[in-house]
Amino acid sequence: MHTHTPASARLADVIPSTWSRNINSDAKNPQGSKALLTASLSLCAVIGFWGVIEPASLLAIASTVVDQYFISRGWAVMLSVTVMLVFCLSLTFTKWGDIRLGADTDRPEYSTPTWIAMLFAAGMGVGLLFWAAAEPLTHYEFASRFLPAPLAAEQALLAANFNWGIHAWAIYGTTALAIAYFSYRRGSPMLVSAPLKNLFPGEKWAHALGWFSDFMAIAAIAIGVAGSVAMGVFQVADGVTVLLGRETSTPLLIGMVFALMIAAYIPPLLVDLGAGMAKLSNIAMLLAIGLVVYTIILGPSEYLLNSIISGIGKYVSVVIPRGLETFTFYGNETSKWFRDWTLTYMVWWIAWGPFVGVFVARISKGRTIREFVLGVLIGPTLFSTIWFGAFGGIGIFDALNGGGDLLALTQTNVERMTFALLDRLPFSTLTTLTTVVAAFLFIVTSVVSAAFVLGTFSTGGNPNPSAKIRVIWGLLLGVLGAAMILSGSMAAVRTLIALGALPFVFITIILLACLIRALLQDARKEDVHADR
Amino acid sequence: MLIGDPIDTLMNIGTFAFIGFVAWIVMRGEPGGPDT
Repeated sequence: MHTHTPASARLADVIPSTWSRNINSDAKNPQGSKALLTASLSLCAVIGFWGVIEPASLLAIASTVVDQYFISRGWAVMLSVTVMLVFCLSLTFTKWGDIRLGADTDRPEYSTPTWIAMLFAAGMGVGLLFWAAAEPLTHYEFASRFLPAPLAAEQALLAANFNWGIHAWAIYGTTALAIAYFSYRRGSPMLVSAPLKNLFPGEKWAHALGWFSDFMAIAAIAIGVAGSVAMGVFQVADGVTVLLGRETSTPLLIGMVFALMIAAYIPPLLVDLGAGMAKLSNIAMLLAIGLVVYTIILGPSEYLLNSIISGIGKYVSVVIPRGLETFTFYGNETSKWFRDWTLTYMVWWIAWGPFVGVFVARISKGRTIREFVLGVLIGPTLFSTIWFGAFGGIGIFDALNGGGDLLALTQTNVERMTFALLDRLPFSTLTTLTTVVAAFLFIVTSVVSAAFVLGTFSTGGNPNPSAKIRVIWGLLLGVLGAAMILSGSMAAVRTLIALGALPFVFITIILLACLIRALLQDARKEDVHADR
Repeated sequence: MLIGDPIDTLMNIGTFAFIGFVAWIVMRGEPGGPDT
């Protein structure tokens, strides 16, 4: 632990008074943060109860809005994420890369491997367990309608690597960098609204847009994390079904897993968020690494290692043009596939942006922008490509050389894919149990940290929201998760997450603009100092 | 006919307005600075 004065205190001596004027202004304005808290809690409660009482009508409306948006604005989403990627990468080549997120004397709190493991657990976690083989195989099934098998396999891996790859981390990186820069270099509270309020203090439009951003960030986090809870409950219930030797998971079992999960995450909400939660996500991460290593060693090792390497090669060679590919000229079927997968994923990452952004900002203090960008973009992306190369590779191996019954599962029971795959390797009871435990840990850690971040957001940037507020958010996340479970299918869950994220597509871009403005301001200030 | 859906057109024009707004956030002169 460092024992220096807070960076904000010392920065106050060097930054212009207009920049620091609004520090913690919300904390001094409990009325404003109370309105924000009430509004955001109400919105989440309405969506939650609506989903529980009448899931079909909620889903119909969500689908309509999301479809209209995607049909009309796929280009804007893909352009935005590519701009974020190019922005992040170009920072590493400039003098801005040397700027430290913190005071110039600050150093990182966590070792680089631990830091990357924590990034990964927060940003992807349970979803990757779920889609390990299911996603590449689903793409393979689709692509093989148009392409010969080898090309279809190549395209399938590429699509999975792209959807979970560097663009996702560029979205997280941009959001986190904006929040971290304003918090550590300018002493703003860790809020989505902080950059706007810091740059345009006292201007009504910035205040209103900032309030709206915080409000929407809360909704996006709540709905995104609840979706992850739903997905994880399906996964865990299915794993328990497999362990019990049953065919399908019953609503009763899903209900029990759900209740157990709420029971598991309420107690940590009552105590302070500390190193314990980081430890839990690290254990989950180690279990995931164990699974992939186990699969490579006990599966067709050479085939899988080849699959990983050629997957990385293909991905690196097309990563930028693929980011701008909208599949306009490929006909309706492919356009729909593109919207259902890549576009939905990009919006999904944007939905997670504020939550992961605040978390990543917190654990990245003391790193330079260059270290930050390279770590956030390259580390987790490399892990995803290894993951899909191995699990997608073994799925494709089965489709091309084995019975192909895993491929058939993409049409009938995609939830069962990971377990069906593990069942074809030795010690399947042990690996199934490992997957179930890892999924459970990923969800519990996500909900606890999300409830914490939501508490921070909804109380005007208070870094230590009261236990009462944390528990309220924990329970609301439970209700929203129940709404998503009742909506019945993974497709429905993803549509709901996309709905929650829509406004954030714009807010993330505004954050990027604020960050660019601040970097330019600070560079001009440096120049003035240099001229003197 | 090659005429597009009017709602689609409006939404896309709205997106361009947003891009303009973003450019304005980046480029706007400082209050009291030489650019105002």
